[in-house]
Amino acid sequence: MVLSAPPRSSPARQRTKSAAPQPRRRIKSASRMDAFAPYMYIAPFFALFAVFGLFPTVFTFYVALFDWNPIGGQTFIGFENFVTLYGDERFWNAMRNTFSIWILSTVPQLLLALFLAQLLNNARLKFANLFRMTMLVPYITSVVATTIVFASLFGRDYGLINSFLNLFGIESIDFAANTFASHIMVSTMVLWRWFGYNTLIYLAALQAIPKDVYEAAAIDGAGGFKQFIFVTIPSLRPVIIFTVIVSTIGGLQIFTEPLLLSSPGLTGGAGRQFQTLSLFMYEQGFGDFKFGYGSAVGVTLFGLIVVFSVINYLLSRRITSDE
Amino acid sequence: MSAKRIARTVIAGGAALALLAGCSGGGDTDGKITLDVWTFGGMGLDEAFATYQEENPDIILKVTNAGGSDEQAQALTTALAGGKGPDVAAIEVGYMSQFKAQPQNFVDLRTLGADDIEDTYLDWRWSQGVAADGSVVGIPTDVGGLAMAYRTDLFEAAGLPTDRDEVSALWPTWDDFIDVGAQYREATGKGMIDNVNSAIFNPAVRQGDEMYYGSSDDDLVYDSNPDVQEAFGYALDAIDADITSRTPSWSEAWNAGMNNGDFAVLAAPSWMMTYISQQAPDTAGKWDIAAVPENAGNWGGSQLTIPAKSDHPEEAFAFIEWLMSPERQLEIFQAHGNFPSTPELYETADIQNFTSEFFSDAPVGPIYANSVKSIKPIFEGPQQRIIDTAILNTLSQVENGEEPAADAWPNAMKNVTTALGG
Amino acid sequence: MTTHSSSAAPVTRPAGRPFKRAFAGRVRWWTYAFLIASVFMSAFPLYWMFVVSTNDSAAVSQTPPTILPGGNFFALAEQVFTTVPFVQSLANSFIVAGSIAIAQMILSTLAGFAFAKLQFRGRDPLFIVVLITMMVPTQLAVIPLYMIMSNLDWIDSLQALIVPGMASAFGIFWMRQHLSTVLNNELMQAARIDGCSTWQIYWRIAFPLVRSAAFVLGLLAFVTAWNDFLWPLIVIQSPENYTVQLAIKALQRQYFVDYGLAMSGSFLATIPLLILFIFVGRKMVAGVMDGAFKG
Repeated sequence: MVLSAPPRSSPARQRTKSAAPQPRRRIKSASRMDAFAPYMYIAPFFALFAVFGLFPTVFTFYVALFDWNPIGGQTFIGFENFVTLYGDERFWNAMRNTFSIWILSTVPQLLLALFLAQLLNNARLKFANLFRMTMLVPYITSVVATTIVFASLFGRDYGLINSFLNLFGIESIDFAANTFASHIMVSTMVLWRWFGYNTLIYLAALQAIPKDVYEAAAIDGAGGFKQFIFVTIPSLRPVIIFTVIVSTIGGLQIFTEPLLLSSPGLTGGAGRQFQTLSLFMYEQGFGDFKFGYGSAVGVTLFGLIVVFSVINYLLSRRITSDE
Repeated sequence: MSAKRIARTVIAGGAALALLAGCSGGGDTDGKITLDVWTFGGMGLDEAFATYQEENPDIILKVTNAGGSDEQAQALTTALAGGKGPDVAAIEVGYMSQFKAQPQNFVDLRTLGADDIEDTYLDWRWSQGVAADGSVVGIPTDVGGLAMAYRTDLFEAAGLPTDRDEVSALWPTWDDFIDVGAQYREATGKGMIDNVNSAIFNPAVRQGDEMYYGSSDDDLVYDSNPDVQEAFGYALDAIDADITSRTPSWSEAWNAGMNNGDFAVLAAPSWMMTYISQQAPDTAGKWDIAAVPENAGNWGGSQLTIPAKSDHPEEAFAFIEWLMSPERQLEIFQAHGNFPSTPELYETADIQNFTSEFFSDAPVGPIYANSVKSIKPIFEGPQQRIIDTAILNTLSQVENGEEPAADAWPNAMKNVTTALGG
Repeated sequence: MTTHSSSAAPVTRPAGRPFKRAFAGRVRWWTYAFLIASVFMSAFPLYWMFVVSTNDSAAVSQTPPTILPGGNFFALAEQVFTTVPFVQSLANSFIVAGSIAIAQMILSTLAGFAFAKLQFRGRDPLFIVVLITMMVPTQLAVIPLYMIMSNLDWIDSLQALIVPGMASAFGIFWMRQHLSTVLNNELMQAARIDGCSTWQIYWRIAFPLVRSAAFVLGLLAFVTAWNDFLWPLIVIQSPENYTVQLAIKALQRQYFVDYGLAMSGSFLATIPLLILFIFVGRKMVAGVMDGAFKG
């Protein structure tokens, strides 16, 4: 990167706002302003970011080294929290739940989005805007409201979904109590919230594929399905990777749904069957008064996300070089 | 300019940009004193607050209802951690041991004259507000004396007696209770109780002299105390006999179940009477109240504390003293069903003649008075709630068929160890 | 989000209009069938919210439950307003989400402009720091953030919700991508020759060009802030400072649980955003689709 100031020779540039009294100083301050100007543009962001983003992140690493009672004392214990954590069954359970819920929500969601985007990608489609807009409605509905509704829909005795299953002679499922069923329940909420958003992203990518590519494929004798596999999917690959990464970062942090389903209590069900890593962190920090231990969970979660982001970076680099 | 000052300046600028509004803060105006009071839902104190406000125009009561007792505890934790706090904070007994383990966060009420009113309250209820170092952290509110609420119509349909004395006589012990449940299952095909935690383990485990702690914070006996294991065993027997409808307390299905008769019996502390009558208004007259097996039991109640940061501890204490006086507690009981923690009321006509129309005119006054008199003080240590949660969760898992009953006890013990170790 | 710049094909079409070269085949009936099903799927939970909030709880907890709206709506709605300070929490949510949206639009276009078009020492490392922030889980910072708020004496105040939300790494990334695309170097050069200062270039040329992208960013920020739950739950205590989400939660977790009430609150809380969405939905759809290329 060029470190010196770029060659900007025009002396006529003046900042209308800077009204220094002396002409000499004025020129000097003008050129100085230019060197400093970029920093002035980013300063507000970085000042806020340093206090409310960077500092808390670094401080969490610090707290994680303590036995830290929020309303009591603090004792330095080094890495003991981490040692305990990696031997803690509840941590691994939360890890399994997090990944299971992430996969169950991401895979069907992206497939559905791809399918719907394909349907929407047609200039002759009527009511196209209506379809697109309705799909964003879940995105603007609050998670709290969504969770209350879905908890009711998935209820064991009075839930609409079980009533529906009963119609077909299927016995009621206790979605909240069973591990796998509870993951389905949480995943459905995540899927519902984001499928429309991803559909629109895929749709934009589909629209960017030139029509003549398809025409060429058609001339070569490729039918609709073959076109989809050999033209559409490869063209969408960067976008698909993008959505996978975003869903991964979001999926590893799933919190509000299990928290609300969990209440009363913070364990994510009696068997911790749907307690995710962030809910486990919250339980330890705010429920059981173990800030240090909770921070250790937070640091670990951060590490996980970094690892996934690095994998993402490497993958996307490979894809770029493929092109 | 120090980094801190820069940060402050930037933040102040940002804050100005952000169109500040709605700043809180109970400033004292006109020589009046504002008391910040934090409660949670279902304490039934609203009328009492209004009366106090009327009688004390120089004091402004600012009452905050945090929602449930969980939310209230989390709000108080964060407030105390941040060096803040209201003037009066209600703490549910389940959380009390966790908070009183750090008594420095609260005013020792002995300094304000708590010793003088100690004798007014049930001794075991009073002791729930006393910290290990002897300081008095909280004054008791109501007491959740236990009885069993049951549906007379469903009992009749199951061929069981419906008269409250006969029903009480059906289950002097927990084993008898489970037998009745088994009969009910056979006759109706339904579970008799809502869930084993509320209806069996909770009351049963509190009927001994000790629970999870012996006599001090370091004296953990949850794994060795035969009372815990016995109560746990009753819960397992109940699951085995299939007497539960597996309906978690406080769930939507629970509320609906009261209305629809999904279960016929639930453990009912006195404050639950209001809950049932509000959730299932159409079932009025179909309920009655019988004794709980082994007779004694408690569920719920709170302590009123004064966080150390309070600016007006004297006024706050005077307010608490007034609010929890026997006269006031009687009024609260009559309006909301929260049973007084002051025994001097128990033999009065007001309690002895108190009946409930919703519960088939049952003499709930004397029933609850009997239930709370026989409770013995139990020492509760700082990890009380964490241990309790681990054990209750294990039972729920068995109840839901997610874990085998055979491994339940070792699993519960393992879960407690993990929870304590983390 | 960090990776996609490689395929940032500049999309120059006007927002919301179809491509000229778009695919235009015959639309089969099952296309509509699937799309209508997806509309149903998107809208049903909202509809169900409405059904529950217009019926008494007995109607919904019978088997099979009713799936038609009842006549109980206004009674429950009134209860919502009396149980929690609902109007106040709506106002709070508007203040918080609105302030965050405006602040993000301003801060992000400023910094995005610097990162996209200005040369300065440390530019690239700083931008990488911004990218890394996008990976930090928000819950990670909650505990120390609480301590900061406590030191600033901001606990239980709206600025505790607003100020941390104003700086958005995503916002900077978003605006930088848009500014790089629309503001080419020839335009910059021409402006400089005309004697424009950097600030004038930003204010007179760059900002108007990305106004609509900034607006979409503001919308996304608004929705995110409106629906935020964890941080308000931890830092807000008094009902007069509740956001809408906390008000709904309070409805659900009063000791005397009434699900009709909770649903009614949820429904009422969603209405303002739905109304907003009717007006700006097209723009938002276009914005999300644009983001696919620039994000």
